[in-house]
Amino acid sequence: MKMSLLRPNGPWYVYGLVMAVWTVYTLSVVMAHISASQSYQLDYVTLNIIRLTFALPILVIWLLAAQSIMRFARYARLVAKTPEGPAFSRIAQGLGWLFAYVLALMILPRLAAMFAHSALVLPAVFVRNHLPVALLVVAFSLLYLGSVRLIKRVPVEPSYHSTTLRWLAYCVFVVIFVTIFFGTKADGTSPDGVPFFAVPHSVLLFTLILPSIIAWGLGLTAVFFVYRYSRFAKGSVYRAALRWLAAGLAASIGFTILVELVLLNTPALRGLGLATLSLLIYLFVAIYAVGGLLVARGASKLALIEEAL
Amino acid sequence: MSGQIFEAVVAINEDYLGPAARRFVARHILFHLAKQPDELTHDDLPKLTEWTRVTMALLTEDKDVLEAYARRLQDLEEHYRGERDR
Repeated sequence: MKMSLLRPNGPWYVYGLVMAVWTVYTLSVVMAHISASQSYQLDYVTLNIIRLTFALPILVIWLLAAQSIMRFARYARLVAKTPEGPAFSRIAQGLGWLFAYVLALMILPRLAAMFAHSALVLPAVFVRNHLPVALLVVAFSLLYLGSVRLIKRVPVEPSYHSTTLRWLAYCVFVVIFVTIFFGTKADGTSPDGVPFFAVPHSVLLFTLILPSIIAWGLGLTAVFFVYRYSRFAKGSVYRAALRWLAAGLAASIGFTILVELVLLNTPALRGLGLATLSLLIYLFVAIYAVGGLLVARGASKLALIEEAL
Repeated sequence: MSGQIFEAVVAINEDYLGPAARRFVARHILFHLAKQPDELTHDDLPKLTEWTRVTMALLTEDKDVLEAYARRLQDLEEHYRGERDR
């Protein structure tokens, strides 16, 4: 990976905003209830050292993600007046909302924990569980709309084989997700005293599961369309740059699917050891980071095509 | 004829840069030749293709692609040189 991808790109206030959100996140983590340390038989200092080993990589990942989105948004502005412009603009917006989803995913559990022993705990848990999914629906809808505009530029119909395979993969995801959902209990609380869910299973099915399934359908279709566009668009150098973007989108969407599957199964996470849990978190963060870097690389190559002299 | 030469250069570039080809060629004509794309003449081709070759080398490291690109531009130059000489 070239070092130029790590160079700041875009307005500095965005990085400032990311730093501010990270500071709030880190403070809320460090000040969190001590009961978590009791779960793993750790003293308070050791627990906070472990927490900081997560917080620092998370800051780096967030900054990289912000950077990759700004690089892509810059490319979208460069081609704004071309026939492909609106499509890339939608995709850039979708990536921005996806980043908001990632931030919400990290921040909201900490905020909900602050209401652990108050009357507002259930509304806080409801927001914690539902706001990320709402952001995901917006993000994937925009990515889908952008990808539909792109695919219309290449008049090649997808084969019966690839369409069947795509639907089969989607159905497998849906079955796994719904099975895990029905296997979880809607009651129960975390070590912080925060309930896992604020509403019964029957309500969650429509407010959490159905929107997630729809969002993934849109997201997977978007990846498929961008990938097809990167295969069939004219121009070998242009296609090579687009393939980085398609791979980055696939990694980002894969990350959200894994996260939602695991979050739905939060009670089971309590049974995992600290090392397994740490590895799991690092794996997710790494997938999102790789996705961001791939998008940044694709955006840089596409922008170079538009600017090189 | 000028527009025809421009379109011929764009057609070659489209095989590499797709929808960005027209903007790519027009940008090079404006910047390196200080002309509008429809003012392109046979005599401008050597300088233009030299610049686009150099820039293409920034966009891809694939030697086969670069060689094929350079060969096609050279063929185009020779074609128009032949036409001019006739």
